[in-house]
Amino acid sequence: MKVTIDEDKCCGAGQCVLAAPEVFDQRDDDGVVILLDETPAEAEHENARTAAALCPAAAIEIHE
Amino acid sequence: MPTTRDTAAPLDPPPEYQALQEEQPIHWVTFPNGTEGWLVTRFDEGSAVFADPRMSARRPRHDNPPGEEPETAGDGEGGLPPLFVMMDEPDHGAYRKLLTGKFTPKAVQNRLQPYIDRIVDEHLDAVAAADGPVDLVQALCLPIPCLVICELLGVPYEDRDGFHGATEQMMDMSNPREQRDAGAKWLLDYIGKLVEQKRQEPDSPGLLAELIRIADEGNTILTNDDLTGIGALLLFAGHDTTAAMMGLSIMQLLTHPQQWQQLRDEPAKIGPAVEELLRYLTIVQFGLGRVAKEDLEIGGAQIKQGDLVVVAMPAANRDPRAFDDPDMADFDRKLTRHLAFGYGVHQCLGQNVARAELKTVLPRLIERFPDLKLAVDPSEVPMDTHGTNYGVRSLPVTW
Repeated sequence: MKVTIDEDKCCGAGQCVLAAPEVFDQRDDDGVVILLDETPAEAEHENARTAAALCPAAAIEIHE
Repeated sequence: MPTTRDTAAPLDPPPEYQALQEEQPIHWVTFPNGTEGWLVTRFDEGSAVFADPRMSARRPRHDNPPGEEPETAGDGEGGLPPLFVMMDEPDHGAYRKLLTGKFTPKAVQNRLQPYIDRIVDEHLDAVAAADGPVDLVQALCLPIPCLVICELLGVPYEDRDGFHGATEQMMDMSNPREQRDAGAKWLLDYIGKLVEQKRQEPDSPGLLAELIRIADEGNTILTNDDLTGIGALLLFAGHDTTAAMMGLSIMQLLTHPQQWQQLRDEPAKIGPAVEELLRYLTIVQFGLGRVAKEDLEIGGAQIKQGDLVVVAMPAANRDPRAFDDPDMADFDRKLTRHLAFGYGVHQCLGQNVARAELKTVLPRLIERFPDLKLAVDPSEVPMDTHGTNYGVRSLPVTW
């Protein structure tokens, strides 16, 4: 699995961090998504998929 | 547009939605004030409306009382100046990015959670010390969200009676327009004075002072009107919504003892339980509107440029196409997502604050008062049917 993010689309809702805190974080000043792990281990795949589904701005893409 | 709830099932959306939803995903309807437009009742189509950049957030109000002219597109909530909730990209994003850092799960956890813990305990102590039935709306649901948003913004809580009264005046759609506008004006004047005061005290705590410092550092995007508008918006959006959600959640748990017991046995379930309560109880009772910027098609309907499109979130969140047994609150549900906070780039800025409050209040209430029960028959709990948010007006309990 490879995860990509689009910072320009991100609206900082924080859904990704709630769903997959091992894979995503947010910048302190403007809340924009930070990708911690672009190739998460299998144990994190489901969380990463949930994060992408929850993202209100469709800023996360999962390539499997 | 269906607006009347079944008194025997006050926590369910108006029953007519089901038939509308079965027929087709989107219907041409007349809104309470006589405005006409499209009403989306299914989940996928509702999500698509919120995510579509061809849909403008500059929309007229559709939930005013019967016979009242809609306010012009671009007006804010109940007479507030144009605000970022009514803007499209890129303007909306530029304003929102100034605020998002303060509303991330991490920021809420670090900066607000200790405060939430403290005030929840204090308010539960006060309930415990009371003699006889207590109204939890007055004892918990109103003061806690209000204290939290005051703390976040740096607004003196001592002024709460004023701005809470003003908010109620603004949000009660059964009030005449003049009265709602008077509420909005009060709130704007109040925040305007506070902005002036905070300019004199540049080191004072809270988001409002921080925004003033940003503005003073030469960030030209924030005018004095912006600061006042953002402050007023966050103040009223931050407390009425969470108060409504807290009241309905407690009523749901009290009328479903097995769910109360489930959270008592498994306090760790609170995260999924809150998400399910948000879906099941969806407080935004008249839906949220957008205006089509161009001709387009949704769910088989031909939408014309300028048409109002309203997503009925309470209906979409009970769509059987998106959720198994949608009319059951199931804390074991594997929930992917819901529309309680909207969707798309405008999705509720304060959602993580609301979650933190609900996830703190509900387990602690259950822990402190395991035998809590309604002091009246559930059918006698007065529901707020006139506000933009659905809620309970009072929730008398004993233990």
